[in-house]
Amino acid sequence: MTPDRGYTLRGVSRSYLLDAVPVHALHGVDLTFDGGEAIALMGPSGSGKSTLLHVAALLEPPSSGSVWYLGRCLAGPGGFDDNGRSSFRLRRLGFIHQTYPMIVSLTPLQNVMLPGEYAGLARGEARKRAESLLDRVGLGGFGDRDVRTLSGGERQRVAIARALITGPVVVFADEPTAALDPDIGGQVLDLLFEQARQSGAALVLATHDPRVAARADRVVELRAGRVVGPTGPTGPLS
Amino acid sequence: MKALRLAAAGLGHSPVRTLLTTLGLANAVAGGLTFYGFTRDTYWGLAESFARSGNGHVQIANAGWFDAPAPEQLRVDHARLDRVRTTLSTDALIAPHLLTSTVRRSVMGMLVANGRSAVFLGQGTDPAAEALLAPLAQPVSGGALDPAVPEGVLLGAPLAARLGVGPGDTVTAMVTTDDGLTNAMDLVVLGTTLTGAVELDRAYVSLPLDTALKLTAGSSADALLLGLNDTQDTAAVMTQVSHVLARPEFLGLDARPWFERATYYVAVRALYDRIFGVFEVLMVAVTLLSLSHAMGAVVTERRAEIALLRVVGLRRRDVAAIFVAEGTLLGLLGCAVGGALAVAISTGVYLAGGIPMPPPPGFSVGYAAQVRLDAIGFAIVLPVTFAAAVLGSALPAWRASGVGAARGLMGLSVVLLAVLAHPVSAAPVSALPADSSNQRCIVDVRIAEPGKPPSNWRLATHGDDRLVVSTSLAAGRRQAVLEQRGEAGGTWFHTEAMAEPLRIGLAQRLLGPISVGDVLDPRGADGWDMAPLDGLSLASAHGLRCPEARG
Repeated sequence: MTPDRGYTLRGVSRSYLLDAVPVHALHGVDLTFDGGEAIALMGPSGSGKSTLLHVAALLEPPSSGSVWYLGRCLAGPGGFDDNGRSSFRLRRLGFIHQTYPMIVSLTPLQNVMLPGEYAGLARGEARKRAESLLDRVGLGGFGDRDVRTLSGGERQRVAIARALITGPVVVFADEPTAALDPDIGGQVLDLLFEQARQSGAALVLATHDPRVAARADRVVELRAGRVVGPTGPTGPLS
Repeated sequence: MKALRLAAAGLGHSPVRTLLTTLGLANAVAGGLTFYGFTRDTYWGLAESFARSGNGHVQIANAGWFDAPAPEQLRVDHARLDRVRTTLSTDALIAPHLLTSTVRRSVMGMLVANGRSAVFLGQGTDPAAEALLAPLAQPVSGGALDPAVPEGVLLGAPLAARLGVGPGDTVTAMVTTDDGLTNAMDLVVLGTTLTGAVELDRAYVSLPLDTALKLTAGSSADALLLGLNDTQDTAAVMTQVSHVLARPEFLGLDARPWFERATYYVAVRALYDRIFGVFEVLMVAVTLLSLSHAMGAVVTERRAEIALLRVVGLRRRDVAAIFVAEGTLLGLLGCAVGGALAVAISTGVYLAGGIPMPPPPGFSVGYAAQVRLDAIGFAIVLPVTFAAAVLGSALPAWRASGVGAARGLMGLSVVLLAVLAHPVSAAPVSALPADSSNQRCIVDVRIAEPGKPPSNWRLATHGDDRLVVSTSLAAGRRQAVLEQRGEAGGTWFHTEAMAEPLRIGLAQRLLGPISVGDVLDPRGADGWDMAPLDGLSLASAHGLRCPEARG
């Protein structure tokens, strides 16, 4: 049956070879992310959290299974090719990485504008949205700074603004506070949850931190590439 | 436009590299243009020296005379050539270009003076026209031909020296007439000259046409020579001359431009064109290599940024376009700077009076070379360099676009490998990957297992997301795949030589990626000892701080 609800992973597996040794990172994962909800992916290192995020965010294709959005197959058999996945990622998904990478030759404002412009927004509109988002993440006066002068927390806020500029349906965050000290990390998390809720996007976080997971609407636990059970209010689709 | 803006920002962000790359390209452009300008000046110099040393820009003679093995048999009556001369000098399309003209008659024979003799090659000419026709002939002594002195002649300086004569002296010329008889005449030396051609000067005599005809007792001449104001008008004048010679009264006459007569010019031009072609190929190769190298370094440096662009959603071609745009901008910059540099060189050489050059082979006079730039030179060199710059950036651009988003991001935070599906004892041991360009931090350590002698190891976070542990400084280095055990986290490595696997965790946090500045901590294995090599200091009581990237 074609999944027509939210953003859905259907039987997703992911394997690859490492020095000729097959590594099975994900096994038949079924998950659905609904707009406005926050989902925490938990599990030890190597449990497949990052791989799950990458497949769900269309950064890697699944070895089997598929990724769907509102009845449209995005990845897997019948899904988009690399260009199509990139275009969907650009317009409908946001991704926040723990090391808050930036284009260092661009200002924070230009970093935020970048996906918007490539998604087809007029330059003026992209600037307007970027300025508004930077205001919302508390970096209103930082738009023209050199990104190298920003702290880790500030850079992660820029990354949050950048992830939201195209109005994504899902924002993926891979341990977004792992590289930040606890205070700054807490502020960034507050911001992330708040902005995701405001924008109506689903927020999917990979984390080791139970305190972070506790703030999510739902916690999904992974072990050895399998969803082993819900620990939050709602569990994974079975 | 977006790609161009990003490219411009990227270039501005690395001003030193941008400057160096631009200068490299500018150097290639300036070199190409300067060499082109030098060859053009050489061509120009050769053309002028041929046309203005008595050969004229256009020669008109009996058809077949130019290529005949015995041209003296194909001479034409000088009165007929005079009629052509008159016609051309009044032609509305030719007259404005015409500087001078003369009918020529060659004479060969023997000169005798002071009991010495020498073979001579005489050119009978119009004394009034000769000064204009051969302005490059260098007077050495005495004066020029004088219409008022019919027996007055000029001798090549080496010929005069051989005969021991100078201005005012008399020489006796003996020739064979057109009828096959012998004739002799006393001639007065008005001066000596150098035509520039060494071999010619040893036999050269310039004398009035009437005297030449008198000596040979004939009325036929070799050719009519036209000297033009501007050598560049040769083709246009040739066209009109051909029209004139097509008239019935001039049938049987043929015209040749100077460049069909100047065999030395043609040979030098062919040689220089070939050299210039080779130079162009080298210039393209240098440009391609320098751009590929520079852009390759940019791609390596910006791997993380490229991954970010892919994560954000840029397609491969979007990413490639940014790097091609950088190559395009660098090409434009290089062409602009190189073009300006070439103009500066050309102007400097001109203001300095040219580059002194020795006489070309067969010539007696050197010259001052210039760098003669023209639109054609720019039209050849700039597009070629620009295209090479764009091409040079294409391959790195494609490489850049191939950086996988997920893998590129993993490279940002080298994640310790976890292979859950295999027990530690089954960890494969294989050769260390040859490419270590992505290693982010390397530390050489001595590890001692309890009860065993210590061994040296290299720990390196590797760009393709592994922490590579290998023997250090030894041929056939071995690699151990790292694994994770249990839920407590930590990374373990194990080789066939070890009885127990060694855990290497991170001192400041339990899990997460290793990066520069992290502390590697072997405390998880009781009794093990890990000490740094290479004089690295301990960062803490129990760990090693991963040093700044090297290698």
